[in-house]
Amino acid sequence: MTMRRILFFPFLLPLVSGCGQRDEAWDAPLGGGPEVSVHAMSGAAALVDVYADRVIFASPETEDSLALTQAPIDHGYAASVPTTGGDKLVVLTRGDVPRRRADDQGPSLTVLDTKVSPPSATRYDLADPLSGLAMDPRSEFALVYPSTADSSFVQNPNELVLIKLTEPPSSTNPVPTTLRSFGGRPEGFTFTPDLSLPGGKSRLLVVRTDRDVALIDLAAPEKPEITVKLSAGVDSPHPVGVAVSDGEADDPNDARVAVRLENDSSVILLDLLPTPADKAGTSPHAFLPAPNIIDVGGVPADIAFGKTDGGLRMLATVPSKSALVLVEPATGVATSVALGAPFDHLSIVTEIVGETAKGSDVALLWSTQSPSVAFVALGSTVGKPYKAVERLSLDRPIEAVIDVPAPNENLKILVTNGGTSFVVLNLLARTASPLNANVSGTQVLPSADGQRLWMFAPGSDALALVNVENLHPQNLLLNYPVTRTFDLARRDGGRAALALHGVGSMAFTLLDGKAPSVDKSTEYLGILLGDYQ
Amino acid sequence: MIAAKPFAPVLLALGLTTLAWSASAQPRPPAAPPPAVPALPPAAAPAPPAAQPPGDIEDERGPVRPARPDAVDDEAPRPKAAPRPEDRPPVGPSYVMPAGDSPTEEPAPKPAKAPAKPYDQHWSAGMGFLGSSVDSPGFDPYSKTNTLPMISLFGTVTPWATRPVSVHLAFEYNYGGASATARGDASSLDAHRLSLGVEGRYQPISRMRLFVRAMPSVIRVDGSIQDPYLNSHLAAGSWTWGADLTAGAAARIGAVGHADLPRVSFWLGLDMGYRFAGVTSMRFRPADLTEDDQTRHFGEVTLPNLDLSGFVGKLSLSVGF
Repeated sequence: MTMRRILFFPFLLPLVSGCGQRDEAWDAPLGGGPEVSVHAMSGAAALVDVYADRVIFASPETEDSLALTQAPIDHGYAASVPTTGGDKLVVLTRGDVPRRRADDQGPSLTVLDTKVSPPSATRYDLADPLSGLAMDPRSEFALVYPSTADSSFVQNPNELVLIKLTEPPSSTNPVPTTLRSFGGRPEGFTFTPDLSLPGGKSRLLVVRTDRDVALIDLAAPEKPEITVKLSAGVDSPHPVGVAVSDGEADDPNDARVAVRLENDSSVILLDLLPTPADKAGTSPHAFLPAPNIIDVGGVPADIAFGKTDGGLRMLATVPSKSALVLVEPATGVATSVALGAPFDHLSIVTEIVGETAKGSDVALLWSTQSPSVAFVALGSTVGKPYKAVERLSLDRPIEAVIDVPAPNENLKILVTNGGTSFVVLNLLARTASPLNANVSGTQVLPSADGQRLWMFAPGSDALALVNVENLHPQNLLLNYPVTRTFDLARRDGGRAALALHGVGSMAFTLLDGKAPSVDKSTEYLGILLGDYQ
Repeated sequence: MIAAKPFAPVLLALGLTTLAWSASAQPRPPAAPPPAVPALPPAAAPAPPAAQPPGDIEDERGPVRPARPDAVDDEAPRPKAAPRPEDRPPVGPSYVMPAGDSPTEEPAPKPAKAPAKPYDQHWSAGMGFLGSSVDSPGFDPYSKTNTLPMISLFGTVTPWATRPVSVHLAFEYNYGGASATARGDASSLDAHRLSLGVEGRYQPISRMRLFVRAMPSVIRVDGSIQDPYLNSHLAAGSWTWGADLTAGAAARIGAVGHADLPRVSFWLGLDMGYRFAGVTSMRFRPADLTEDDQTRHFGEVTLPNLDLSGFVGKLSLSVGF
């Protein structure tokens, strides 16, 4: 017995001190598709390594050098969104659920600033573990809301948390608010541009629920929201789309919100008017929405506001009528423009193609049902509207439209046929140039400088660079399947293409962005295994 | 799981062999006697009882003599019986039995042996099992626990043999490793440690000694990761420094030669201490590239820095000579 004790003692300390457990992240499986969210930042590719509670930033430095850094995030990753400028990443975490120990983490929203290395973090504590995250296009606000995936014992689906990203965390930031509900739950959010409203300029957050619409004044989010019940009947309409107009810039009383309804030919226009005198004492707001119901003659597939030579119009594509309906918002008078095809999407492209001679907008229409696109010069809607429509025939209907950044914003990439057929649409020349891929599911990624298109197909080793000036494709064959491609600014001033191979421990292939060559590429393997302090 | 290197059976076999050798060390027959001395009688013809030294016991096989006084090495040498005229001084070393052994001897009369000459040992060599704790996060990719097992080969050189305190030059080579999975990829770590240092001993009695050891070292670590999805073998290797400060005790479990200063002695040692080691970065890049892959350019991916510092403990068997 004594001998056993003697033998045991020298090993006791090493073994006792050596019996600790390693970080559980090392036991996280990778498999063929690890749980990683990927974002393109301004100068880096961001990989949210969920199991390791961190974000890996891959920043090209030179043609053959990639800087890898990381930033820790809290436990319980829920969602992440980069800011519009791409220099910050907003990460929502649920924390440790349930919280059993004092050091368990609570829910939070963390803003990672990649302008500094390693990225700095600003953390906003949240009261409840929610999973929905919506981002303001101007990156001034982030909105946290309950998603359908949240499953707390008791939950208020109309509870929203607004975080002012331009302000540090404080007792008044984040701002919790609860929508007055008529039985619905939030489904969509629209951050408006600056609107001239009664009471001054302000931005609004338009919240769509499954049966009503709520307006939150972002200038004073602590004020109660304005909920607009869309129907007094039992069968509530289901809002599925929103368009916003400020009207005339110097008129505070002509801002409007249009609401498109599901399977309903009506569009509800909310005129944001000054609060009536009889309600001024009870309402904390200087404006109140005045709803108007306008029938556009068929179920609209898309709506927008546009300028015509006759003034502001609400535009609605009505595929069942193969028409574009223009509604005069003040009077509700509708004018139908025959298109000859069931167009179901529209966007105003005036900033790209330039306004008409009379200062009116130009709308681009495309269809998932008909192989064509159309340009509608809204300035000609008065008098001879039909002559204003210019159609361009394609081989197949369009599934998606991808914008090309400036200075080639006049180009639109039309995706057709399951990602094997593409059309480069020139809005100025009104030309449609085809690009074909032999692998279905091929994706197109325009470079941030608008000079190149990167085309890749998940699961394929192939990568192609297309110069937008001459649409010349340069095909490359990498050593691993490409999951995603990033076109990033290098720190030395050049451009880099970074192909992510999202299998196993993941890998990157770094290429020159402007003159890529496989024999000059540099591969980084085992990305998720690395420690990048 | 740590996959301990399969040296434990080797160690066990070595230990058993060593002990068996020590326990079976019987007095050798003397070297070829001079012609004047008659050959040893066969066992069936025992020597006359009168020729037996006092205290001999006789059984049915013949007389049995208790352990020779010189086998009890920690005691003062006892006066020996006067050698018989036919006895001759033994040629070569005497073999000393471990304490407690009571070997039987051939009943034939044997020539008396001269006392073993004291011998100053100047060398020792041994091997052992070494366990060390590694708390560094850099060890996590290669092991699910914080223990790094190693096998140890070591030795000492004694420039000046003094008692009871002595100073020795020591060298040691350790090899060990661990393996696990790093996020699903098979991973392993090999560690080689080569050290030269100083050992100070305090030997109050010939059967036991206490020692302290300071062993600066160089350490080589090699990491390996296999990613089946990328069909790649990633490898990293680096050097760093180390220094082990340990203290322990050793017990003599066998000896050959003089009781107090034997020519050969066998020791079972236990020591523990702390290992200081430099932090080394583990930069991985593909290895085992084919000829076609030689033109590819690879960047490095750095895994957490590795620090092998931690408590160490060692169980060893050694032989001094």
